[in-house]
Amino acid sequence: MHLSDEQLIELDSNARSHIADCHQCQQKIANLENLRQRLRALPEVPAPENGWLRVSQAYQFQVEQQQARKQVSFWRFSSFALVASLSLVLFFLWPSEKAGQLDQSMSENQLAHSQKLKSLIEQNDLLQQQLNRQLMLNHLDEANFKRLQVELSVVDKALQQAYIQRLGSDEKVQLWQQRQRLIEQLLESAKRPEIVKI
Amino acid sequence: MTTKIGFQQELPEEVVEQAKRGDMKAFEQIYRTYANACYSVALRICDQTTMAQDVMQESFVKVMRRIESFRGDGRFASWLKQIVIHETINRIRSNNRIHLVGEDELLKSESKDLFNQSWLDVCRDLDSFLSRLSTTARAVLLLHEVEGYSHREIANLFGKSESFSKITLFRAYAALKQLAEKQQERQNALK
Ligand SMILES: [Zn+2]
Repeated sequence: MHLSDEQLIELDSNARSHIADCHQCQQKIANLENLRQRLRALPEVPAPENGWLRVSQAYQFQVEQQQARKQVSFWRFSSFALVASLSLVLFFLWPSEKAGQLDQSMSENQLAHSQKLKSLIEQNDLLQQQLNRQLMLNHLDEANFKRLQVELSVVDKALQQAYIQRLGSDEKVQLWQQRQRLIEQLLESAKRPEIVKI
Repeated sequence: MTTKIGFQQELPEEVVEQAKRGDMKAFEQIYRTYANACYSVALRICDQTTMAQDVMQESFVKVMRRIESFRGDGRFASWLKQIVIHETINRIRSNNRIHLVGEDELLKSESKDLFNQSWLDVCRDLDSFLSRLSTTARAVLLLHEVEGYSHREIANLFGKSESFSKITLFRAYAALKQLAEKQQERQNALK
Protein backbone atom coordinates (compact mmCIF):
# COMPACT_ATOMS: atom_id res chain seq x y z
CA MET A 1 0.00 0.00 0.00
CA HIS A 2 1.56 3.31 -1.12
CA LEU A 3 1.67 6.39 1.05
CA SER A 4 -1.22 8.87 1.04
CA ASP A 5 -0.57 12.53 0.16
CA GLU A 6 -0.93 13.46 3.81
CA GLN A 7 1.70 10.91 4.81
CA LEU A 8 4.01 12.23 2.12
CA ILE A 9 3.73 15.81 3.42
CA GLU A 10 4.76 14.83 6.92
CA LEU A 11 6.80 11.63 6.96
CA ASP A 12 6.82 9.51 10.06
CA SER A 13 9.19 6.59 10.67
CA ASN A 14 6.85 4.04 9.04
CA ALA A 15 6.52 6.21 5.96
CA ARG A 16 10.29 6.60 5.79
CA SER A 17 10.86 2.89 5.83
CA HIS A 18 8.24 2.44 3.09
CA ILE A 19 9.93 5.04 0.92
CA ALA A 20 13.30 3.35 1.27
CA ASP A 21 11.94 0.38 -0.71
CA CYS A 22 9.31 2.02 -2.96
CA HIS A 23 10.39 3.67 -6.18
CA GLN A 24 6.93 5.13 -6.87
CA CYS A 25 6.72 6.92 -3.51
CA GLN A 26 10.33 8.08 -3.88
CA GLN A 27 9.29 9.77 -7.11
CA LYS A 28 6.35 11.49 -5.38
CA ILE A 29 8.62 12.72 -2.61
CA ALA A 30 10.99 14.10 -5.25
CA ASN A 31 8.07 15.96 -6.85
CA LEU A 32 7.00 17.34 -3.48
CA GLU A 33 10.55 18.47 -2.77
CA ASN A 34 10.54 20.25 -6.13
CA LEU A 35 7.44 22.17 -5.09
CA ARG A 36 9.05 23.04 -1.78
CA GLN A 37 12.18 24.24 -3.52
CA ARG A 38 10.10 26.55 -5.69
CA LEU A 39 8.35 27.97 -2.64
CA ARG A 40 11.62 28.46 -0.75
CA ALA A 41 13.26 30.12 -3.73
CA LEU A 42 10.71 32.93 -3.92
CA PRO A 43 12.66 36.20 -4.22
CA GLU A 44 12.77 38.82 -1.49
CA VAL A 45 10.42 41.75 -1.88
CA PRO A 46 12.06 45.11 -1.13
CA ALA A 47 10.59 46.88 1.89
CA PRO A 48 9.15 50.37 1.31
CA GLU A 49 11.72 53.16 1.24
CA ASN A 50 10.54 55.20 4.22
CA GLY A 51 10.18 52.16 6.50
CA TRP A 52 12.84 53.12 9.04
CA LEU A 53 11.39 56.60 9.40
CA ARG A 54 7.96 55.11 10.15
CA VAL A 55 9.40 52.62 12.63
CA SER A 56 11.57 55.12 14.49
CA GLN A 57 8.72 57.63 14.74
CA ALA A 58 6.26 54.99 15.95
CA TYR A 59 8.82 53.85 18.53
CA GLN A 60 9.48 57.40 19.75
CA PHE A 61 5.75 58.01 20.02
CA GLN A 62 5.14 54.84 22.06
CA VAL A 63 8.07 55.58 24.39
CA GLU A 64 6.82 59.12 25.02
CA GLN A 65 3.30 57.86 25.67
CA GLN A 66 4.61 55.30 28.12
CA GLN A 67 6.66 57.92 29.97
CA ALA A 68 3.65 60.21 30.16
CA ARG A 69 1.52 57.37 31.56
CA LYS A 70 4.18 56.56 34.18
CA GLN A 71 4.39 60.20 35.27
CA VAL A 72 0.64 60.49 35.55
CA SER A 73 0.23 57.28 37.50
CA PHE A 74 3.05 58.28 39.88
CA TRP A 75 1.50 61.71 40.35
CA ARG A 76 -1.96 60.27 40.98
CA PHE A 77 -0.63 57.64 43.36
CA SER A 78 1.37 60.12 45.40
CA SER A 79 -1.54 62.57 45.44
CA PHE A 80 -3.96 59.98 46.77
CA ALA A 81 -1.43 58.89 49.35
CA LEU A 82 -0.93 62.46 50.54
CA VAL A 83 -4.61 63.34 50.73
CA ALA A 84 -5.32 60.10 52.54
CA SER A 85 -2.56 60.71 55.06
CA LEU A 86 -3.72 64.27 55.70
CA SER A 87 -7.22 63.06 56.44
CA LEU A 88 -5.87 60.49 58.85
CA VAL A 89 -3.65 62.94 60.69
CA LEU A 90 -6.27 65.63 60.96
CA PHE A 91 -9.17 63.50 62.03
CA PHE A 92 -7.48 61.09 64.38
CA LEU A 93 -4.93 63.36 66.02
CA TRP A 94 -7.53 65.70 67.48
CA PRO A 95 -10.62 63.62 68.07
CA SER A 96 -12.11 65.93 70.66
CA GLU A 97 -12.96 68.68 68.16
CA LYS A 98 -14.20 66.21 65.57
CA ALA A 99 -16.42 64.44 68.06
CA GLY A 100 -17.51 67.77 69.51
CA GLN A 101 -16.91 66.62 73.07
CA LEU A 102 -17.13 70.01 74.65
CA ASP A 103 -15.99 70.65 78.15
CA GLN A 104 -18.77 71.73 80.54
CA SER A 105 -16.39 74.07 82.34
CA MET A 106 -15.80 76.15 79.18
CA SER A 107 -16.78 79.81 79.14
CA GLU A 108 -19.38 80.91 76.64
CA ASN A 109 -16.66 82.45 74.49
CA GLN A 110 -14.60 79.25 74.62
CA LEU A 111 -17.69 77.21 73.80
CA ALA A 112 -18.41 79.32 70.74
CA HIS A 113 -14.81 78.92 69.57
CA SER A 114 -14.94 75.18 70.07
CA GLN A 115 -18.14 74.89 68.07
CA LYS A 116 -16.62 77.03 65.38
CA LEU A 117 -13.58 74.72 65.31
CA LYS A 118 -15.82 71.65 65.15
CA SER A 119 -17.71 73.04 62.17
CA LEU A 120 -14.46 74.10 60.44
CA ILE A 121 -13.00 70.62 60.78
CA GLU A 122 -16.19 69.14 59.37
CA GLN A 123 -16.01 71.59 56.46
CA ASN A 124 -12.40 70.58 55.84
CA ASP A 125 -13.41 66.93 55.96
CA LEU A 126 -16.12 67.48 53.33
CA LEU A 127 -13.77 69.46 51.11
CA GLN A 128 -11.18 66.74 51.44
CA GLN A 129 -13.73 64.22 50.17
CA GLN A 130 -14.55 66.48 47.22
CA LEU A 131 -10.85 66.79 46.48
CA ASN A 132 -10.56 62.99 46.43
CA ARG A 133 -13.45 62.73 44.00
CA GLN A 134 -11.95 65.35 41.68
CA LEU A 135 -8.63 63.50 41.80
CA MET A 136 -10.32 60.26 40.82
CA LEU A 137 -12.11 61.98 37.95
CA ASN A 138 -8.82 63.51 36.72
CA HIS A 139 -10.34 66.96 36.96
CA LEU A 140 -7.42 68.55 38.77
CA ASP A 141 -4.58 70.36 37.12
CA GLU A 142 -1.30 68.75 38.13
CA ALA A 143 0.60 72.01 38.71
CA ASN A 144 -2.23 73.47 40.81
CA PHE A 145 -2.54 70.33 42.86
CA LYS A 146 1.18 70.25 43.57
CA ARG A 147 1.02 73.86 44.69
CA LEU A 148 -1.83 72.97 47.03
CA GLN A 149 0.19 70.12 48.46
CA VAL A 150 3.01 72.49 49.36
CA GLU A 151 0.69 75.14 50.80
CA LEU A 152 -1.30 72.60 52.80
CA SER A 153 1.85 71.08 54.25
CA VAL A 154 2.79 74.53 55.63
CA VAL A 155 -0.65 75.06 57.16
CA ASP A 156 -0.78 71.53 58.54
CA LYS A 157 2.58 71.95 60.24
CA ALA A 158 1.39 75.17 61.81
CA LEU A 159 -1.83 73.44 62.93
CA GLN A 160 0.14 70.60 64.43
CA GLN A 161 2.25 73.09 66.36
CA ALA A 162 -0.87 74.98 67.49
CA TYR A 163 -2.30 71.81 69.01
CA ILE A 164 0.99 70.62 70.50
CA GLN A 165 1.68 74.00 72.05
CA ARG A 166 -1.96 74.25 73.16
CA LEU A 167 -2.39 77.63 71.50
CA GLY A 168 -5.66 79.46 71.80
CA SER A 169 -8.72 78.72 69.68
CA ASP A 170 -8.29 81.92 67.63
CA GLU A 171 -5.04 80.70 66.08
CA LYS A 172 -6.53 77.29 65.40
CA VAL A 173 -9.65 78.79 63.82
CA GLN A 174 -7.52 80.98 61.55
CA LEU A 175 -5.40 78.06 60.44
CA TRP A 176 -8.41 75.84 59.73
CA GLN A 177 -10.01 78.65 57.75
CA GLN A 178 -6.82 79.15 55.79
CA ARG A 179 -6.76 75.45 55.04
CA GLN A 180 -10.37 75.48 53.92
CA ARG A 181 -9.75 78.43 51.55
CA LEU A 182 -6.79 76.68 49.93
CA ILE A 183 -8.80 73.57 49.12
CA GLU A 184 -11.78 75.63 47.98
CA GLN A 185 -9.57 77.61 45.60
CA LEU A 186 -8.26 74.45 43.99
CA LEU A 187 -11.73 72.95 43.69
CA GLU A 188 -12.90 76.20 42.13
CA SER A 189 -10.11 76.05 39.52
CA ALA A 190 -11.06 72.45 38.70
CA LYS A 191 -14.39 73.66 37.32
CA ARG A 192 -12.70 75.95 34.77
CA PRO A 193 -12.61 74.67 31.19
CA GLU A 194 -8.86 75.19 30.66
CA ILE A 195 -8.06 72.42 33.11
CA VAL A 196 -5.74 69.86 31.60
CA LYS A 197 -7.30 66.44 31.69
CA ILE A 198 -4.96 63.51 31.96
CA MET B 1 31.28 31.69 -1.24
CA THR B 2 27.58 32.52 -1.34
CA THR B 3 26.25 35.78 0.08
CA LYS B 4 23.69 35.20 2.80
CA ILE B 5 20.38 36.89 2.32
CA GLY B 6 17.22 37.44 4.31
CA PHE B 7 17.06 35.95 7.78
CA GLN B 8 20.24 33.97 7.09
CA GLN B 9 22.27 37.13 7.52
CA GLU B 10 24.09 37.38 10.83
CA LEU B 11 24.45 40.59 12.78
CA PRO B 12 27.59 41.26 14.80
CA GLU B 13 26.85 40.60 18.47
CA GLU B 14 27.93 44.14 19.37
CA VAL B 15 25.10 45.59 17.30
CA VAL B 16 22.49 43.70 19.33
CA GLU B 17 24.26 44.72 22.55
CA GLN B 18 24.29 48.37 21.47
CA ALA B 19 20.61 48.14 20.58
CA LYS B 20 19.91 46.73 24.05
CA ARG B 21 21.42 49.92 25.43
CA GLY B 22 18.96 51.93 23.32
CA ASP B 23 21.35 52.97 20.55
CA MET B 24 19.15 54.11 17.65
CA LYS B 25 21.98 53.69 15.12
CA ALA B 26 22.19 50.01 16.09
CA PHE B 27 18.41 49.65 15.71
CA GLU B 28 18.66 51.22 12.29
CA GLN B 29 21.34 48.72 11.29
CA ILE B 30 19.10 45.86 12.47
CA TYR B 31 16.23 47.31 10.48
CA ARG B 32 18.26 47.78 7.30
CA THR B 33 19.67 44.26 7.55
CA TYR B 34 16.34 42.46 7.92
CA ALA B 35 13.73 44.86 6.53
CA ASN B 36 13.36 43.09 3.20
CA ALA B 37 13.22 39.65 4.80
CA CYS B 38 10.56 40.76 7.28
CA TYR B 39 8.53 42.56 4.65
CA SER B 40 8.67 39.55 2.32
CA VAL B 41 7.40 37.13 4.97
CA ALA B 42 4.59 39.45 6.02
CA LEU B 43 3.56 40.36 2.47
CA ARG B 44 3.61 36.76 1.19
CA ILE B 45 1.38 35.62 4.04
CA CYS B 46 -1.15 38.46 4.10
CA ASP B 47 -0.89 39.50 0.42
CA GLN B 48 -1.68 43.15 1.24
CA THR B 49 0.96 45.85 1.04
CA THR B 50 -0.66 48.12 3.62
CA MET B 51 -1.04 45.33 6.14
CA ALA B 52 2.50 44.14 5.50
CA GLN B 53 3.82 47.66 6.15
CA ASP B 54 1.84 47.88 9.39
CA VAL B 55 3.15 44.48 10.44
CA MET B 56 6.71 45.65 9.72
CA GLN B 57 6.28 48.79 11.75
CA GLU B 58 4.65 47.09 14.71
CA SER B 59 7.12 44.19 14.68
CA PHE B 60 10.19 46.41 14.71
CA VAL B 61 8.74 48.63 17.42
CA LYS B 62 8.14 45.47 19.46
CA VAL B 63 11.70 44.35 18.83
CA MET B 64 13.01 47.73 19.97
CA ARG B 65 10.94 47.67 23.12
CA ARG B 66 11.58 44.03 23.97
CA ILE B 67 15.19 43.64 22.88
CA GLU B 68 16.31 43.43 26.52
CA SER B 69 14.37 40.18 26.80
CA PHE B 70 16.37 38.68 23.92
CA ARG B 71 18.87 36.58 25.84
CA GLY B 72 21.01 35.63 22.88
CA ASP B 73 20.59 31.88 23.39
CA GLY B 74 19.16 31.63 19.87
CA ARG B 75 19.75 33.51 16.67
CA PHE B 76 18.58 37.08 16.69
CA ALA B 77 17.17 36.69 13.16
CA SER B 78 15.01 33.73 14.25
CA TRP B 79 13.66 35.73 17.18
CA LEU B 80 12.85 38.62 14.87
CA LYS B 81 11.19 36.37 12.30
CA GLN B 82 9.04 34.82 15.01
CA ILE B 83 7.82 38.26 16.06
CA VAL B 84 6.99 39.19 12.45
CA ILE B 85 5.09 35.95 11.87
CA HIS B 86 3.13 36.29 15.11
CA GLU B 87 2.25 39.87 14.25
CA THR B 88 1.12 38.87 10.75
CA ILE B 89 -1.08 36.02 11.95
CA ASN B 90 -2.56 38.22 14.68
CA ARG B 91 -3.45 40.83 12.08
CA ILE B 92 -5.14 38.40 9.74
CA ARG B 93 -6.92 36.79 12.68
CA SER B 94 -8.25 40.12 13.93
CA ASN B 95 -9.30 41.03 10.39
CA ASN B 96 -11.34 37.82 10.27
CA ARG B 97 -9.37 36.67 7.29
CA ILE B 98 -9.10 33.16 8.63
CA HIS B 99 -10.98 30.61 6.61
CA LEU B 100 -12.42 28.32 9.22
CA VAL B 101 -12.20 24.60 8.87
CA GLY B 102 -14.57 22.62 11.06
CA GLU B 103 -12.73 21.03 13.95
CA ASP B 104 -14.39 17.72 13.16
CA GLU B 105 -13.47 17.97 9.51
CA LEU B 106 -10.59 15.55 9.68
CA LEU B 107 -8.54 14.71 6.68
CA LYS B 108 -10.48 11.73 5.44
CA SER B 109 -9.09 11.96 1.97
CA GLU B 110 -6.87 9.10 1.06
CA SER B 111 -5.83 10.94 -2.07
CA LYS B 112 -2.68 9.64 -3.61
CA ASP B 113 -2.26 11.69 -6.73
CA LEU B 114 -1.34 15.14 -5.47
CA PHE B 115 2.35 14.63 -6.08
CA ASN B 116 2.29 12.34 -9.10
CA GLN B 117 3.95 14.99 -11.16
CA SER B 118 6.03 18.08 -10.61
CA TRP B 119 3.04 20.12 -11.79
CA LEU B 120 4.38 23.49 -10.65
CA ASP B 121 6.93 23.46 -13.48
CA VAL B 122 4.27 25.03 -15.66
CA CYS B 123 4.01 28.03 -13.36
CA ARG B 124 6.21 31.03 -14.21
CA ASP B 125 4.85 33.39 -11.54
CA LEU B 126 4.40 31.52 -8.30
CA ASP B 127 3.37 34.67 -6.40
CA SER B 128 0.33 35.05 -8.64
CA PHE B 129 -0.68 31.48 -7.79
CA LEU B 130 -0.18 32.09 -4.08
CA SER B 131 -2.29 35.23 -4.10
CA ARG B 132 -5.20 33.19 -5.46
CA LEU B 133 -5.21 30.94 -2.40
CA SER B 134 -7.23 31.85 0.68
CA THR B 135 -5.21 33.79 3.27
CA THR B 136 -5.34 30.82 5.61
CA ALA B 137 -4.20 28.32 2.99
CA ARG B 138 -1.35 30.60 1.93
CA ALA B 139 -0.28 31.22 5.53
CA VAL B 140 -0.28 27.55 6.49
CA LEU B 141 1.51 26.53 3.28
CA LEU B 142 4.27 29.11 3.75
CA LEU B 143 4.64 28.51 7.47
CA HIS B 144 4.85 24.73 7.15
CA GLU B 145 6.74 24.34 3.90
CA VAL B 146 9.00 27.39 3.88
CA GLU B 147 9.40 28.53 7.47
CA GLY B 148 9.55 25.03 8.94
CA TYR B 149 6.68 25.35 11.42
CA SER B 150 5.15 22.09 12.61
CA HIS B 151 1.39 21.50 12.49
CA ARG B 152 1.32 21.86 16.26
CA GLU B 153 3.04 25.25 16.11
CA ILE B 154 0.68 26.44 13.39
CA ALA B 155 -2.30 25.22 15.40
CA ASN B 156 -1.08 27.27 18.38
CA LEU B 157 -0.57 30.36 16.26
CA PHE B 158 -4.08 30.20 14.88
CA GLY B 159 -5.69 28.98 18.07
CA LYS B 160 -6.90 25.91 16.19
CA SER B 161 -6.35 22.16 16.19
CA GLU B 162 -3.57 20.31 14.41
CA SER B 163 -6.10 18.82 12.03
CA PHE B 164 -6.99 22.37 10.99
CA SER B 165 -3.36 22.86 9.97
CA LYS B 166 -3.11 19.49 8.21
CA ILE B 167 -6.28 19.85 6.19
CA THR B 168 -5.51 23.48 5.31
CA LEU B 169 -2.06 22.53 4.03
CA PHE B 170 -3.49 19.67 2.01
CA ARG B 171 -6.08 22.00 0.51
CA ALA B 172 -3.44 24.59 -0.30
CA TYR B 173 -1.49 22.04 -2.35
CA ALA B 174 -4.68 20.80 -3.98
CA ALA B 175 -5.62 24.37 -4.94
CA LEU B 176 -2.14 25.05 -6.33
CA LYS B 177 -2.32 21.88 -8.39
CA GLN B 178 -5.70 22.90 -9.76
CA LEU B 179 -4.33 26.32 -10.76
CA ALA B 180 -1.33 24.67 -12.42
CA GLU B 181 -3.53 22.25 -14.34
CA LYS B 182 -5.75 25.07 -15.59
CA GLN B 183 -2.72 27.00 -16.73
CA GLN B 184 -1.42 23.88 -18.47
CA GLU B 185 -4.75 23.50 -20.26
CA ARG B 186 -4.64 27.14 -21.41
CA GLN B 187 -1.11 26.71 -22.68
CA ASN B 188 -2.03 23.54 -24.52
CA ALA B 189 -5.01 25.29 -26.14
CA LEU B 190 -2.74 28.06 -27.41
CA LYS B 191 -0.39 25.63 -29.08
ZN1 LIG C 1 4.89 3.44 -2.25
